[in-house]
Amino acid sequence: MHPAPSIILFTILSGFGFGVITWIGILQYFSMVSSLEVISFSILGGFFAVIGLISSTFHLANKKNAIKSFSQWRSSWLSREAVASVICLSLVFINVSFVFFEKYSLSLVGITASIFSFITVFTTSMIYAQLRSIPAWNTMLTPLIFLSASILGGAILLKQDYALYGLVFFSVIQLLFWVYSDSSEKNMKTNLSTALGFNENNSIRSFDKAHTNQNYLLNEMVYKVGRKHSKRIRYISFLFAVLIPSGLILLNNHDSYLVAFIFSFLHLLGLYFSRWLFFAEAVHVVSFYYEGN
Amino acid sequence: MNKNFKPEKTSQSVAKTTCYMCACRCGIDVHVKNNEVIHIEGNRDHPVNKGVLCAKGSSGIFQHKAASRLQKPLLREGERGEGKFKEISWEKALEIAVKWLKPLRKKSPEKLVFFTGRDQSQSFTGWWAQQFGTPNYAAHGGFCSVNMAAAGIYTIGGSFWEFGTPDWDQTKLLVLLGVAEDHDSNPIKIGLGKLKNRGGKIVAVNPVRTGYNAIADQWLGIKPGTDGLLILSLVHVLLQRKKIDLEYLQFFTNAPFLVSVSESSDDNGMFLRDKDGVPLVVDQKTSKLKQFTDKTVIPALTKAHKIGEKSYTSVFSLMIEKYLDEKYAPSNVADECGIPATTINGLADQIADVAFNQSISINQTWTDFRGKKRDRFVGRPVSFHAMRGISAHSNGFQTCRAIHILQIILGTIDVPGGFRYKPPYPKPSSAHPKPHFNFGKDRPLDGPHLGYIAGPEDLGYREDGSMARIDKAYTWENPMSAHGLMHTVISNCYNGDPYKIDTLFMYMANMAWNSSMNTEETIKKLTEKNSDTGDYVIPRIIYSDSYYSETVAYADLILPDTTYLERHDCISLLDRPIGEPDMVCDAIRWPVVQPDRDVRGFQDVLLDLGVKLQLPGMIQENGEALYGSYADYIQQHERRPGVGPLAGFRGEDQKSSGRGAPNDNQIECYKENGGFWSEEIPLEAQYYKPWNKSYQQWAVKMGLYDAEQPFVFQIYLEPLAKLQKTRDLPKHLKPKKELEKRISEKMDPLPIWWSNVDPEKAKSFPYSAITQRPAAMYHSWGSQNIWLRQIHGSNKLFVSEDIWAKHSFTDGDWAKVTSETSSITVPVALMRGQNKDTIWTWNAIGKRSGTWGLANDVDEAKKGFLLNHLISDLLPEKPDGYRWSNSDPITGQAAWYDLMVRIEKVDNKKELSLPQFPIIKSPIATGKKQVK
Amino acid sequence: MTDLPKCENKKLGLLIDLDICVGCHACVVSCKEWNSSGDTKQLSDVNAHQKEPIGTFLNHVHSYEKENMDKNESEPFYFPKSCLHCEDAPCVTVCPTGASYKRPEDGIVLVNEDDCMGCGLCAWACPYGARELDLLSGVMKKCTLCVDRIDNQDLPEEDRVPACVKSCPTGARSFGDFNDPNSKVSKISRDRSGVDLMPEMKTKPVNKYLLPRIKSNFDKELDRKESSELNVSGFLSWVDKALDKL
Repeated sequence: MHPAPSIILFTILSGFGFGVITWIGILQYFSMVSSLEVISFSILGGFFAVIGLISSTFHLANKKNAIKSFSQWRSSWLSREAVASVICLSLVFINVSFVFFEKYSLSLVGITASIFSFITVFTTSMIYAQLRSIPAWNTMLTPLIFLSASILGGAILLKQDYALYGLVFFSVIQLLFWVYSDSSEKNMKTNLSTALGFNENNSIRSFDKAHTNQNYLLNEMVYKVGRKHSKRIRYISFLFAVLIPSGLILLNNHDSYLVAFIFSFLHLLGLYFSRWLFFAEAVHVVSFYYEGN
Repeated sequence: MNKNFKPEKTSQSVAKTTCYMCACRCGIDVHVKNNEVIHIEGNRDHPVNKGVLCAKGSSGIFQHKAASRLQKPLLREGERGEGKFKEISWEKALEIAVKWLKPLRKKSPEKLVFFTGRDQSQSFTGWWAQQFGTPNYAAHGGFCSVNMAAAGIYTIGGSFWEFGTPDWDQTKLLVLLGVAEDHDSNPIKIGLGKLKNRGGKIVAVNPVRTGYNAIADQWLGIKPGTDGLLILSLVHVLLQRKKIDLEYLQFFTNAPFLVSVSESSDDNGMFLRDKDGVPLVVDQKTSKLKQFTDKTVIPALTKAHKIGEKSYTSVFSLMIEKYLDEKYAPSNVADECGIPATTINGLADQIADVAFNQSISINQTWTDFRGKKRDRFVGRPVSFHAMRGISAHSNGFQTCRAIHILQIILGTIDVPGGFRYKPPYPKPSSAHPKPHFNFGKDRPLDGPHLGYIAGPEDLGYREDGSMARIDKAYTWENPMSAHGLMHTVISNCYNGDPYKIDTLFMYMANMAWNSSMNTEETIKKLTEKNSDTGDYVIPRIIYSDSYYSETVAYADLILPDTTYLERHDCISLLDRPIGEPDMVCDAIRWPVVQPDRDVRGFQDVLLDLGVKLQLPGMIQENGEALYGSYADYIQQHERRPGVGPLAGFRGEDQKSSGRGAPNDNQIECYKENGGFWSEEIPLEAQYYKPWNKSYQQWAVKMGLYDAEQPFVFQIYLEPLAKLQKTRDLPKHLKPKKELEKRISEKMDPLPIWWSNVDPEKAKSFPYSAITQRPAAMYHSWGSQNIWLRQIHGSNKLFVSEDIWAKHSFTDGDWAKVTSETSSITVPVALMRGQNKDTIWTWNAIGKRSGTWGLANDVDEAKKGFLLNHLISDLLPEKPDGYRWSNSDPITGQAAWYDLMVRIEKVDNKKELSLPQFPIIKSPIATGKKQVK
Repeated sequence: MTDLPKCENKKLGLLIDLDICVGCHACVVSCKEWNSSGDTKQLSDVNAHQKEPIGTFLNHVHSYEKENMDKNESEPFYFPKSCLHCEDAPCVTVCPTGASYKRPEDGIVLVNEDDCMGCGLCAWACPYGARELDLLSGVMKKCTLCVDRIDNQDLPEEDRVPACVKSCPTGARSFGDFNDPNSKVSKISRDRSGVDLMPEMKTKPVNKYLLPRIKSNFDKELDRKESSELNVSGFLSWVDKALDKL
């Protein structure tokens, strides 16, 4: 799939923002943070979530109908994501308003916001995981990796002692995901033969193109990344998303949010590469029509 | 689409006219609103296409609205090839044309060289040129498919292409030879679909397995140029198996004719004729000689005859002797053709089985031309169709003759299930005019330019022995060049050989690009100047076309034509007809919208010029125009009494067919009828047409001929035999010494095959290089169309798996392809389904920067390519210094597919196809970026 | 709602015969033409006369070749592809705005352009590449089975078929109701075992494809009596005798 920067940023930033919201609601519920922290981190989380959501609208070709995307929550994960994110952010807004104006901690609202934050990230991931047309995504590992990344991001910022567990968990999911992705490409039930209606595996190739230039399908859904290149990016991703933050956290003596923020930033950088690969390496089955065996 | 979408009416009016993209001439429904074309689809009632429409026709809107359309007459300002023009009025343009042409007409009309390309109005343009008086006219057939037409007319009085068709409803086995998407595409596609759904079988012989060949039940990946050998091998096997139709050969062919075989006799090689000139045959029962037309004759096939010292052998015996020779046995031809002997034998067996064990018949009494009554039409349901893959070789004429011989011995021409003629065919060569060359000051030519010779006496030489025509048609280098040789014109004009000319006038032919061999050389000849005078060697060039093609920039005066939706035209029985085996048809085009720019239909312009030049036939006695317009000409002109361009709705009652007085409401009648006219042929006249009395009478009634023209098939082509015997010719007709061997070897009156490949050169140039027409484009007309160019925006060179592996090609590689003439650098692709020693590409996709309304850096110009650059119109110098033409020695047909090359992988970082040509400026703007 | 409809009276779709498709692109262009002409100018082209043209097409024809291992030959064939109007259309359920819907009365899958926001998720969900984003209008386009023809009372009845079906010269495309066991498409699909594309995607396509028939083999010579090697005179005397009999 074409790795569109707007979509990658959307999932990374909104994932991070919602991760922060999830944590702050939990910490608020257990009274482990001050009102100031509740307000600032709710706003920070909300800010990243909104930046992410706005980024996603850049991908829309007909933005004026975007408002209609709330209507199909009964069947569409994207619609559910829209609804859940609005509910979550509304709850955050209510929570922050009460803490700021009424000086009253609506911790139930806070924890509900956390739950909806978690749900939002889940619905985001399901947009991709539901697609049978992209076998590499069509696995529970997809929501797992989105959720674990989101929670991990929030933890690095807000609860570093839990972050290490998160880093281990995330590493496992990430590695499993890459293993699954590689094997799904090899073991895909779909190939050019099934794409053309043949049931046995025939040796078929394309000898002439349907059109000599690009089109929407090729631009959007057929993307090739070289094996060596992809391996290199996996290393870089793992380095920044897991190894460096782990090392830094272990060596860290400072109990400063600024430092934590720097660690988060490095983690998000690694996550960007991971998410880039998530798109770039994913084979959409329509590719078979264009590439041949 | 709105959820509550309510379908609306598509247009204000539907105009029924004829498509123009290829030689199919399908009927189309054009939806018009406010003088704008808004939709085009097929006309369900039209006999040719019955509602279907291919990609080319369906994209007609953007052919009609092409950004590359010329807007106004142009006069060249810069150098030829620069593309600098100034717009002038029609008045001025015609003034200039008359200024150039009037003195020529008065003193030396042969100095006007007028050739037309892809038009479909040869009957009219040829007549115009005849009235002007120049011998130098032809259409493009010489570089297109004259081999097919000439071989067919001479042998069977018809041809493949749009002159005949397989019997789609009744044939059981169809053999396709050298057919890509080509004439006549939609009826063939309709027929193939029908045939497959009926359970019929298709065998396709073609080096490349695309298109129709892909859906065939069996494919023979033959080596290009060897089809003739394959066919003669099939003939050999059928003879061996004794699977031939003796009765058909006896009564319907010249197999029983007696040929003089005495070397010293003065009629050596000719038929034995009586004092009235009627060929004689031996009667099987009485063993006596009789006229072959005798009512009671039962012609013998094997009996020889002697008159004194002179010996006569039957054509049949000569044929048997020739084709039973071991050299045609499948095991001896397999290597040359690239087809296993078992396949050849198997195919012959299949053909014989279908023809003789699965014959069909239609119960219908009919009478043959001898007066013999028969009670059925016997059908041998094997049919054949052949196209450019056969034609475009220097052995194409003989190969096509071989195919007809194969059809003949199977008894499968114009029978149920076989190949069937479409009216006005069959028309034997004797029913066609002879060519005419007699030109002189201020008078018309003495007859139509093109025709069919009967012997050397009809060749195109003047009394002083010089050649009459600029293209050297009808001379010893190409005696039967029935369609002229447009591809030699520019060269010969440049060389002043056989004589210097003044004005070159061309219509709709992209000679400065994809319609010429060795494009670079051709362009040089158009642009070179005399060193002493500084004038162009070819003094004046007038060009007419609708679009800004690569050739427009090389002309001095441009007469812009309309598009096909803005003009009148007739698809005439006098020209290139449409029609069905059971139906005679013709059709019109008419302006469904008015042009939105200052252009005029070319034929209207010619008539106007004709009046200004005071050409007979176009003016009244007082010198005023006889015809107001081309439409007027179509309705009023009579080529023979009662016979005009359109055969329908004639006469005062507007109901006469074929013959009748001109009707000035005729075009309206056609419009009301859906743009065409058709009439069924009565059943008793539908089959065995060359010999069927009912058909012959019907054809005379319909004006196809003026007298019945029954004939027998010419297995042995006597005119060729006459050409071979050059001894007793008068001086001015004698061939050059260098040609004698070739004439004696190649002009065999029975079909033969020879290799196009020089064995010495085979090592340096081991691969055949050919092109095919893509189904979605036709010639150079596709790239200007914004939809079609997304399908074929550039082309690749397809190579076989063998070649791919041998040179270690991978996807995205480039290759240098070299011929004896030149080399090109092109992108390559692998295709497995092709002959292993062949490379090929789609035809005419490469374009030149600056043309066709496209931006300068389009893929068509930067990556697209032509094979033309590799082909020369002259073969390399022989030891005697002579350079033969790269064409068929009998018809002069350009031998495009004889090309042999070698290939090597090259690094091409710039990814530009080579050669690249300088950008041509354009007097018309590049088309829009966004179209909604 | 973009839920899939519960019951359908008809299952309209196309039957594509790969055995007689010659790859002429008539269907590609006539579809583009019908949808770009008249009052429904829907499909755009960008860089129409420039480098890298991109236009919206609802139907594409691909060219493939299949190895025939027994004959050591390659068999090219052509493959037209457009929306299969799936029973279980994933493109319908993923749509967040409800623009993508399936008509309950005949199963045709359509896009309501007034609601489409151009997110492209439906195109991602479609395994077959049936949907394209139109660059100039910003909404998703796809085969509509020519609803503006099949329901159009202003067209003569025989013309109330999709444009591609009318224009196909070989008759490789047929249109009809797959829910009616006696319809032409149902019958032929049964007789020749019409197949689904990518059945493992569980989309339950309505359009069916007929695969290329097995190519025959003429290398097996027919049974014939051993014919002696005829020489010319032997042949001629056989002919002579045969003519005497006729």
